[in-house]
This record gives sequence, structure tokens and C-alpha cells, in this order.
Amino acid sequence: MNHSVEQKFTDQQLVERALGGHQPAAAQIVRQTEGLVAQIVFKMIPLADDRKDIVQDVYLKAFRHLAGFRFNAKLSTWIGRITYNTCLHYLEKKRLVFLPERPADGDQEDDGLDLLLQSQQPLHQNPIEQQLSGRERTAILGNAIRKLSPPVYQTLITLYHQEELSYAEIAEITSLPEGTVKNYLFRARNQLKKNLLSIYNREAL
Amino acid sequence: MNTHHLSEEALQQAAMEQPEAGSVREAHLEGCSSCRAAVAEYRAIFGALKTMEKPVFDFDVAQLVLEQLPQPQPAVRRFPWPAVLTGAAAVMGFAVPLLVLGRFLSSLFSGIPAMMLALIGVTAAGILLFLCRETVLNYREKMRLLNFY
Repeated sequence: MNHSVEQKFTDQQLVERALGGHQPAAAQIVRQTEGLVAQIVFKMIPLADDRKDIVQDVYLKAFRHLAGFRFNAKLSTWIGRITYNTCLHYLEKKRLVFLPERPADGDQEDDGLDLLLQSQQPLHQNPIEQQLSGRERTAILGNAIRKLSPPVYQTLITLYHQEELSYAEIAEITSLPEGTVKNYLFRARNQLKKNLLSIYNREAL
Repeated sequence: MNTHHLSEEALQQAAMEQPEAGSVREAHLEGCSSCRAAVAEYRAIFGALKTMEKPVFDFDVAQLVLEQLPQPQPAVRRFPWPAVLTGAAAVMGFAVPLLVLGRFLSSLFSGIPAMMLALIGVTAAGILLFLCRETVLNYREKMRLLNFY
């Protein structure tokens, strides 16, 4: 299937076509939303083996209830909400706490710190941006994000700063009041900065 | 030396928003190197977050999902056996005790005027219908949520 020639349809057109059994429209819905679904699932589900089942569950629910979608929100936000609730339900069922994701490789965290320790100057002398590049930046930031607690901060930071969703959209996905989302994000950014600074301060010692 | 600095919230806002010429915040930032450095740190973090690699599934999600989707089929109208059987059981549940205990019930209500009996009967039936309706609505809502999440 050629993804590059997919036409740009509105949410309503896509939903109507998918409900009419048009498989390319259903595939387009999946492709347009899987990035957001991945962000939520990767942040909330610690066991990589379970993610496939959860993603499948999310989309089957979405398509089963597609006729009930009332276009009060964007289709991606609605699917994001299903994803968030499915992940929460999974964690409840497995009696798991919404814990930070562990790196697949046990040494990855140390690797991230090693990468930081390789640079010569502390943060106040050398801006973070200059020091972080490409994969190093992903590793270091990933570790700093994983340390955010409570873990809902990790999801909020990702949705706001990576997926560039608005406060209202995040509130819709997480069912948290918009004011709470703003407040949590403020604390999460603050904590993230402290986490990064603590890494750099260790480096400076 | 400036002893008052911008709050953490204001620093975050300054890092996320375009500078507003002439605002109190911008005026402070112009004269305060410490706050400017803090804003620069936040900007660096936000910029890095934006360009951070996004997680991707190591399988084709569309293919996985489309294989599971049922093909649309014409709606088949089935006879509602479960509803009919439940209704029949409910009627039997009332009728059998009424038949067995009928003569005791007639003697029990013998002294009460017919109008009063009718009033009691209608009220009881109304309450019963209301409770049944509530139960059905609750059941449907719970089933909807269970199916959804």
C-alpha cells in the first residue's frame, strides 16, 4: 500500500468512509493517529511485550465505537483518550503502578550519564542545547523524563512538548481539568529542568 | 543588583512565548542575566524535547488492526428471545404466587375500600416501573463502559 499518495480528508470524511467499509480510510485513520498512540503507550506501559495487544485493543475499540463519534473533538484526541483509558485499565487489571519505563538495556542510563560526563563544562557555562545532539540528546532527555514523578508528568510533557497538543486537548485525553493539566505541566517542566541540572552538576564535580 | 527575580512560572512562559516588547517581564529580562540564563535553559530543554526522537512501534499497526476489523454485513433482525423469555419469567414470578396465595390475599384486603386498593396498586406499579427503568438504564450504561474501556 502506498502511504505517500494518501489523500487529505477531514475527520468526518474519513469516519464516514471507514464506517462504509472503505479499508484505505480505516488505514489512514490508523496512520494519522499511531504517533500519538505510541507516545501514550510507550510512556504508560512498562512491558514492551504488552504494547502490541494494547494498541490492537485501542483501535478495535475505536472502530467498534466509531459510529458514536460525535466530532466534538478531533478524531486523534478521541483515539488518544481511548488509548489513555485503555492503558489505565490495563495497569489496574495487572495491578501495576503507572511506573517510569525502564531502559531496555540496563546500562543505557549509565551510558546517558557517560555521554554527559564526556562534555567538559557545566550547564551554566555551556548551554544544554549546545551539548545535546541527536541520539545523545534523546538518551539524556529520555532518562530525565523517565525520572519524572508522578509518572503522569511523563505523559503530559510528551503530549505538550513533543506532540504539541494544547492544554484543552490534553485535558480531553486524560480527563483531567485543564487547570490541573497546566499545573502538572508547570511542575513537570520544573522537575525536568532540575533532573537535567543534577546530571550536569554531577558532571561538573 | 537586582534581588527580585521572575517566578519559575514566568520563566517558563517567557521560554515558551514570543518576547512581548515593552512588557514588564521583558524589561526585567533585559536587566537580569540570571533570569535570562534560566529562560535560555528552559528554551534549550523545550527545543530539545521538540526534536527528540519519537517512539515507533516495531510492527505495522494498520495491517495488524485491519486484519481484525469485521467486514460490514447487512443487519439481520433476530427475534428477541432473551427479552421474551425474561418477560415470561417475570409474569410467571407474579402470577404463580398470586394463584397460590389468591384467597389469603382477598381476605387480607377485604376490609379496604376498592378506591384505596386501586390507589395502592397504581402507586406500587408506578414505583415498580420506575425502578425497573432505572435498573435497565444503569445496566446499559455499565455495559457500554465495560465494552468501551
